[in-house]
Amino acid sequence: MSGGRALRAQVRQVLDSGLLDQEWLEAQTGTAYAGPAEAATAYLTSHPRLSPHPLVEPDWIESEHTVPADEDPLLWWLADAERSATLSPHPLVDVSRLARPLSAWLGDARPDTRVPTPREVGPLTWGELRRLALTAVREHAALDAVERVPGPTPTLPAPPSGESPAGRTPGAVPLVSVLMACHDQAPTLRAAVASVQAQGLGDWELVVVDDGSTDDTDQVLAGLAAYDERIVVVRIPHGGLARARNAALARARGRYVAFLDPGRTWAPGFLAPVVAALEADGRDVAHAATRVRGGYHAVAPTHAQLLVDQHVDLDTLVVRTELLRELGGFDESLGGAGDHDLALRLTERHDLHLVPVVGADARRDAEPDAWTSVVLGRRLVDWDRADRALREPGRTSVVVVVRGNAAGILAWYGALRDAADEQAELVVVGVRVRRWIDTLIRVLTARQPTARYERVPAEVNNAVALDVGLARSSGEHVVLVSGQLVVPDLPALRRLAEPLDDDGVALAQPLLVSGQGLVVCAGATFGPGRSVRPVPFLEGHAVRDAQAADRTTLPAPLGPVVAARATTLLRLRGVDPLAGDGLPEVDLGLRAVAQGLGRTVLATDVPLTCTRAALPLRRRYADAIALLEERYDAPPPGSRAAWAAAGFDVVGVHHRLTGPDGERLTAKDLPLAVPQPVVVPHRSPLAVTEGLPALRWTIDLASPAGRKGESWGDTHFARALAAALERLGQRVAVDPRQARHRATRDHDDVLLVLRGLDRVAPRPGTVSMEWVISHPDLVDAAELASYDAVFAASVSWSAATTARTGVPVTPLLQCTDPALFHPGRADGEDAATDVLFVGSSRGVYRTAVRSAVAIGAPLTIHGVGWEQFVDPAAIASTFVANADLGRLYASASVVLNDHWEDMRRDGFVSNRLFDAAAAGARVVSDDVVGLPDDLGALVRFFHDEDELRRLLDERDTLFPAADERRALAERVGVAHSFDARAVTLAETAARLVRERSAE
Amino acid sequence: MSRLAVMAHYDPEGLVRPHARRQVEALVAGIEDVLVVSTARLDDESRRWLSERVRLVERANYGYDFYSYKVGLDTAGDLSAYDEVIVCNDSYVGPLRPYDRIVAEMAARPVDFWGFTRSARIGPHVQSFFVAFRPWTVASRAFRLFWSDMEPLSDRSKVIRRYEVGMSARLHEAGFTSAAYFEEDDDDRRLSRRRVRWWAAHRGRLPRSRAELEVFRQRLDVAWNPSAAMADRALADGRLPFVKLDTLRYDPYGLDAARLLTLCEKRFPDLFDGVRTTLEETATFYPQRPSERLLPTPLALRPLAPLVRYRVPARQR
Repeated sequence: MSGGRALRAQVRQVLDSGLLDQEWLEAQTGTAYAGPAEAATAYLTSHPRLSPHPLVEPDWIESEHTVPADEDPLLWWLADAERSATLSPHPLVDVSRLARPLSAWLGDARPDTRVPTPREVGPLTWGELRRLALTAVREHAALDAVERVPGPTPTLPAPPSGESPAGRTPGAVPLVSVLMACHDQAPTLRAAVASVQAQGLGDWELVVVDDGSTDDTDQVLAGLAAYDERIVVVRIPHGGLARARNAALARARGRYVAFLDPGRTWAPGFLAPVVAALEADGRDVAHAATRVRGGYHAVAPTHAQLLVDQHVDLDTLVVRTELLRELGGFDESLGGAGDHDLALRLTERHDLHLVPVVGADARRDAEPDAWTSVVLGRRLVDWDRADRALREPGRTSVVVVVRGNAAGILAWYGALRDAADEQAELVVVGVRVRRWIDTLIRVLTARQPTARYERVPAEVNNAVALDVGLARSSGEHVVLVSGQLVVPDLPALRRLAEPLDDDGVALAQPLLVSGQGLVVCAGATFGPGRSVRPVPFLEGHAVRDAQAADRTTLPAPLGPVVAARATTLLRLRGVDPLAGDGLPEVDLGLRAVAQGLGRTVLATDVPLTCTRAALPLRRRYADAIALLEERYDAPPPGSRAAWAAAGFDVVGVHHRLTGPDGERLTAKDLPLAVPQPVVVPHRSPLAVTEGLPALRWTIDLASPAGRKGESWGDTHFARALAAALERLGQRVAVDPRQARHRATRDHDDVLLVLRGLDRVAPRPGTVSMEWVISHPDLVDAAELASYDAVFAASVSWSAATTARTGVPVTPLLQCTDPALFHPGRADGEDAATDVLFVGSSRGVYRTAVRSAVAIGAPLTIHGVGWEQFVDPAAIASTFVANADLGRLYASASVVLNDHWEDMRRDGFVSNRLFDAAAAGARVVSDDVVGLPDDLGALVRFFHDEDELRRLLDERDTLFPAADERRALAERVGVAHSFDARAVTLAETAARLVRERSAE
Repeated sequence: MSRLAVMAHYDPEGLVRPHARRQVEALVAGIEDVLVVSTARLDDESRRWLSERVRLVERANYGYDFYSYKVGLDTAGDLSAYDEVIVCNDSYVGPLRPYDRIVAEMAARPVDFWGFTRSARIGPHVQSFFVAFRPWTVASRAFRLFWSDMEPLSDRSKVIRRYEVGMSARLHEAGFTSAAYFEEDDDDRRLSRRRVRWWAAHRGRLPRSRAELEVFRQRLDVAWNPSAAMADRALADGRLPFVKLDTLRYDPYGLDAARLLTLCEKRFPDLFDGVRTTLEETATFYPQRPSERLLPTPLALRPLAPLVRYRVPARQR
């Protein structure tokens, strides 16, 4: 098939899909199309790619899925019915919520039809979505028209004819002064100078400033000057490019100045026509094109375009000398990006004029560095205006930098919607975002009254982006977010502003935790010694250690999130762009202290989840500390105090050595040594005879970290136990299973393993105790013997196991939290439910539920996995928060319970029995041995359905009356509380620790 | 103008041979300050002859000519006093044009150091039997470090790599440029390329396998040594202002060096007086190097010999 026919076939497919919106395409391109076919052709041949319809975004499809390189994403999406029914073609639509194809839905959709949007977006009608999207895309197109610089052209227009100044006889004063500044570039000098000597125009002087070179620059220049008296050599002590260029400018005698970097060469025909053009029309500035692969970069960029990128090559620019002097030459405070800065200053009042000849080969593109951000930042942020802007008391503005990542953007807007808090403002700064991301953000912003959006078309670093957002924000408090948080949590970020109520506090540092629930960073501390090399405070520790240091003063913040009063940030002139690629927040904190604006404190109230990658501690770290050490002579004080607040003494130093790039270190490398404190926990005296010593504990859990772990009973059990131990003066961390191997457990006195499915290796240096509360079959003699003490939640199993293995196992039954489970939590007189069962099916039709259904009992179930077994009407919910469980139990007429078979057989009385009994419920359970006597009156066993029926039918006579149950329940709450178990555990631990220390 | 020449001398029998005497006299005639560093066990007459004309430094025979250059430069003292510093040796018959003419012609060329010839063999370099350095080059860090870092080597090929080619490389890398008095034109290049192929056909048997063919192909394209490949350009009124004794002795490209000597004796009878005798007297000290041994001309190629062999250039310049 020929190309033309193939395209026609594709056009037909696009038209047939019903997913072509001509007006939408016209809004993107600013072009009117004769009809849908022309619009479809425009879409299919577009580069960069257009979107054919407000609900189809090819770039999104491509970013989310693997589309073959030669296929159009829309046609790829359409090609497979399964695909188009399940994968959404646009971030604002969720096709899985549609019962039919999107095009069919659109065919019937009216302006007031609700679009099936993803949860984060909220309700939106088709009419509103299209209207917002059209407005957004038009705004983008209008800006793009101003900012976009045309790409390379294959040919150059004919150069102007006219008298060339080439024939001019060199006079006493040269026509052009070529300024060249060099520092240790001797090898490239000759080629550069030769390209000047090869120019058709001979009436020039070359002022070469040797900027304190230590190579043979001076001798090479001497050799050049010996043969060409137009070459003037100036030597100055090394002082940087801008100063060297200014020194050259000071010596320039020509009417015009041109520039040449010694690493480059001019095209032979550059100078004469550009100077001729200046002479001809009396302009002050002109420049030539550069040669790029496949053509020429031939543009005369405007100031607005230069704010996007450095489009003009200084080495092809010729300026009237007087003008450059009026502008003050080059800015010597800049360590780089001086070219860009000059181009921006020139274009503030003068238009650039392109002479269509080649000046040079284009520079090889270098990564924009921090200086580019400094130069652009000066022009993108109007600090005086920001100072004058009114700020809303009580409002917190969260400034977020985005560069792509549509899912991340949706999450932020979803978080804003969930927060439903008019004092929470979201300021999104899009850095060099593409058309569709820009449009998406505009649509989302338009729907959120407290969202603001600022677009930065240039590739600036996060510091500049945050400053732009700060200037745009309206809140009294500002939270700067420069990295991706795993869960954008606006209420948490709002609370981060709370410490700022204290006037002495300038910055609030959040507690950053990993997906494993360990501390990633709680601010910056500095190791002993004079280096200014921050390390993440409490990295790898359990959150509990950070909580001990809540509201502690830190030497500096560290990490992608920091909160401050807007006034503080404005006085600091925001985040420093020069520090922006490294650790700008550290610099911010240090400047705040230096300027007397206040200290940095740690706020641990709501941990924020992020990855370690959010801290630039590898690749960019060396640059970051180079800057910090240039600015600050010594590390700020406060590191020891911060550690002390967390409960640690700094007793030594350990140097982390990395290669200069943060990677592997070889013997040849000069290592980067980062001093890290070696800490030991404060020890309480063990010798006291009365009361318990304060020990550090970790409870090792079988349940996973994060949201998943919240549905595990073990998680809540461990937390309640930890709280009870804390009430006894212990410090207790609770580790999810992923945190099991963290090194910082070595700071602990006691490890308490709640045995789940995993066997856990005790640490020989720590007192280790195991409490077998489930899966007794998995525990063998070797495991038991590896612990200093073993408890089990069964009287019979403990006795049998002790006899069988010779390892003493102490019975320690399950327990309850009387604060949550007590009769007072009932909703009313036996009100809510009749027969209650709380628990997941675990994939089996559990005895209690099966029996209850069999006898037709009025059953209410809370738990997952029951749909396949029971009438859905009986399932009240799939999840009950632990805090609500007590209320359900207390309000139920009967609480049903059963055990895993092995648990039942071995006498592991379920914690539900304790909870329900403590709530004063009538409990009907399968038969389990070893039920404590004080539960006896509240718990009745059934062995078959007949027995269950009798228990339910005769509950009023078989169970004590309400008042009596209440009294019994309260006794259960005392005898079988977490506090009671905690006393046993703590006393045992104290005894073992004392025995060890006596050894 | 004030120039310094350091000439390295060696003779296995402790003599200063006629060609070397003429070379010393030519230096003295054209260069203000001449210093000869000899590694020969000079006999009294030779020592006296040299001492009457130049500053003479005698030293033990190690480190080849480059170490003699170094000793000479160290002995000369403050090099910044000179407008040009020259190092040369006694390995050639010449100059075929007076040194002051050569030096004056080169003074107009905007380069940092220069020699009689440049070669691209191993790496682009100025051939080290005659090199002149401009004062800024002499003052450079690269020049100073090159000589101060030098240690005597006793392996000829290492000397060539590290010092002859290495010196040019080091100065080029530092940003300096070089040139040669002998400027090759297209005719020269064409003939040189032909002569390299002739040489290649004599270096080993004709290829019989794919691998041998590849080696042969590479040999066809190696860069030539102009002092051998262009040796008969000396006959063009000294356009190449020297003839290397090695060329006459070994005929490295198999171009009939005996014929070249005869032509040279005819064209420059005074300058070549005694050269034939010197070659004969020293032959035992300079056996053929195995790396330069050539095979007899294959029968099929014999008719082509007149196209490549040394001859009086058609265009006299």
